[in-house]
Amino acid sequence: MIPSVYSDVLTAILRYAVPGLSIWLFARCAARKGKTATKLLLLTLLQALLTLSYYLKDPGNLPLGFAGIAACQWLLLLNYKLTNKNAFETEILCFFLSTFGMCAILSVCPEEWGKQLASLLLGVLFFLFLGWILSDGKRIRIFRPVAAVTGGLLLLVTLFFGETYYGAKCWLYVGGVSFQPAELTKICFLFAGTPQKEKESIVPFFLYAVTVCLILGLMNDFGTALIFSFAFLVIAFLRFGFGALLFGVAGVALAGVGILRFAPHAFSRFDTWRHIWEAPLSGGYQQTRALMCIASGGLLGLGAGKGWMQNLFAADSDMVIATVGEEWGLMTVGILLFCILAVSLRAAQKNTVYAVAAAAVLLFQTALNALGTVDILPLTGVTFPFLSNGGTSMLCAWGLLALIQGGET
Amino acid sequence: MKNRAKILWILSFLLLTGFGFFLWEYVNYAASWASFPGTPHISGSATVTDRSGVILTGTEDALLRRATVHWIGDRQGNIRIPAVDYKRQFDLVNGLYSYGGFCPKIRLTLHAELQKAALSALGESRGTVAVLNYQTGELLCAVSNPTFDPENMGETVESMFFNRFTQGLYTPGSIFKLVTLGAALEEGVVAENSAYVCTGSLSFGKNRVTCAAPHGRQTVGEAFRNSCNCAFGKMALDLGGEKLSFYCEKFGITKEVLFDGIATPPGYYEKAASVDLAWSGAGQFTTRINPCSFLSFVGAVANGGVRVNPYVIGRVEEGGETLYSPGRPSGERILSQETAEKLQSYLRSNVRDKYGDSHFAHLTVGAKTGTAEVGGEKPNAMLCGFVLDGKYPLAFLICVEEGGYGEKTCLPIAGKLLKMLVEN
Repeated sequence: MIPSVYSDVLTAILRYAVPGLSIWLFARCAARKGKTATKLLLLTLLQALLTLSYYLKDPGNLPLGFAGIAACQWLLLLNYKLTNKNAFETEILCFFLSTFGMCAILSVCPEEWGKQLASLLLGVLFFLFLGWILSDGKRIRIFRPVAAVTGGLLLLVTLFFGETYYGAKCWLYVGGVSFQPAELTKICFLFAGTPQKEKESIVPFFLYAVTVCLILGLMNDFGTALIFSFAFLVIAFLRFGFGALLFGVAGVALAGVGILRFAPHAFSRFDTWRHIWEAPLSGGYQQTRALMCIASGGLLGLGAGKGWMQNLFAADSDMVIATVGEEWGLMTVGILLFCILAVSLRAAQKNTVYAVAAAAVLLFQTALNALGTVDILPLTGVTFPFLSNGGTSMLCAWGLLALIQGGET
Repeated sequence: MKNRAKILWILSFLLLTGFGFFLWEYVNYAASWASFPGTPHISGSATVTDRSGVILTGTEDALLRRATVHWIGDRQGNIRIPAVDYKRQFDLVNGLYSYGGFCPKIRLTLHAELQKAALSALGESRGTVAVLNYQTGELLCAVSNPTFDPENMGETVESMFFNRFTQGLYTPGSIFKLVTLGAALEEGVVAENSAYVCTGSLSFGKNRVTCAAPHGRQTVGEAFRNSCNCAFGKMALDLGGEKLSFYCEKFGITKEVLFDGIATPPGYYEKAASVDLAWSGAGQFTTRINPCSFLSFVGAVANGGVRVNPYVIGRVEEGGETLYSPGRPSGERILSQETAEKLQSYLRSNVRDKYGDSHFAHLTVGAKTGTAEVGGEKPNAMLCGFVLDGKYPLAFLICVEEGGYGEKTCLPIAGKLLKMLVEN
């Protein structure tokens, strides 16, 4: 038996070290200072410390998740070196986010670490694959219609064969593994929406968007439908300017009215919005617990496994920032948000439609998740990219990254 | 074209602003979030035990869980227990962090076996049962039914979260005659040789105070033993509403009781005249008593007229250090020693000469039953009393809603509890 004093001392040290290391890592990545290997070592050090910390929380179970992520990140760096790509900062930040995602999983559902690691691996492979497509115009031309059709098919299959889980029919079980195809359709959608020729008409794209949203509506997955609507508006604006945006907004507003009429339960979250403390045991339960736990953690956190959030439903997905915030502090949460910002603003340099659109979706989804958890916005049941538990969420996040990077470095 | 990137800057700005709003709320409200009822870090980490160290939090004993949940609280925060929500240090930077975690041990004054026995004795009936040490103020037992098992919530029964002992307000019925008699003795309105003649009813024009049967000529003691409504109606008239109300307050009946972060609602006594005043002397009319404050009044009678404030938290320790201990009991004299002793003898006579000592495990007990009409089908059954024994300086109160006759329903419950006390 390891005396608890080791755990206590380590916690006392780490609650300063972890946010500290995180700030340092982020600063160096954002400023693009220093050698890539050094930065990656910093991340690896953080992962080692976290491994120790979670090990002391549950002696007898050495958490291998962090080692897995570390292996993944070094392999990717190797790949880059071999293919002569240079910049790696954005990827480091994504691995950094995934590391804290693993922290949340080890507290909430430790048995799923392997699944998440596999998702990470798949995500990185998907990222490389998309990057490969995007680096060649001819390939883009070939894959666009493929993507469009795949996206639609994924949704239709979910509609007809999907299982309803917690109200939304968005899960598909393949060989015992669950995934949400709608998330993947997001990538297909963004990819399909990018213009090859300047003069492409908006109509087919608009029709595609409407179909997607209708199907999502039928599946009761209004959170994802919201993101799709947003993605559509962004692409409409980027490709066709302000006029199209207004037209798009009108369309979305109409859809909103339609939902109010035919599926008003979609707006049930708005009832408790900004009123969670008046319904702390019913509609506001998750968010009030999230806020209580974030407050209990303070800026520096309570330490690995010392949180309560692990008892809450969706602590590893929709409410993940509260889980991380309770254990590692609000400061760490702030850094995670800044990571998303840094990743998104990478697209500002690229300026291509799909890079900007993907970055916009990344920002929008993160905002919905993070601000929903803390009741600044109503809860919409979307995940935090890279951080939240979920195979397709991870896959989708790396897909968005691929679109942002645009196949170049 | 920088144009396209503008969207990203706008979205980033919105995200940051949103988060900024949150940070502003955090700075202002985090302290209240961290101590909101049901917050897991306060109610979750304390270990609560009974007076002899039997662990109550997370016990496997379902009956014990159900018997003590009103004092310990549940995970969701349906029950707010300010005392067990032991105040932790909170600051914005560290939250609730303290080196080594914070796991206080809270030792209550309650007796686990007594709690369980009391809840079992209540059975399906709604109500409250409580036992108090009238010399120290320790609450040995205080259960409230309906209750629930915090580990297996099941269906929500109406008022199951409500702690009837601390928050209830009941029509007292005949147990209020202690108050009337106490007031009358203090005021000198009754004397040793006062006599009351009961014809079965006391008329006020069209209205009447009635007894079940005429009791004839009675001394004070006999009137008390007979629980004669007419006699006590007359006593109340002799006192007057003003005086009776004054004594209600003096005895603490219409005052709130404050202990361990709990505030009971004050009882209610309405100054009236004529038939209403008379009925109020018998414990009917609009009078309401709170079980906790009434029990401490009964304890004061047993304690020679000195009321000791009740409490339930015996000690709070953390990491070997005592964080809280209740201090010496401070008493407040609410009635003269003489009055108290007279009341004790009247109550003792009730048991010795009427109910029978066998009902009370042959201890030296004084008690009074009550059958409070509440306008419904069945009246509430009430019983209050005390043990006059140096070894067991205990006062008890039993209220069974819609329990019927006080004697029939409450005596067995009291008997069971006292028997258990003696045997252990």
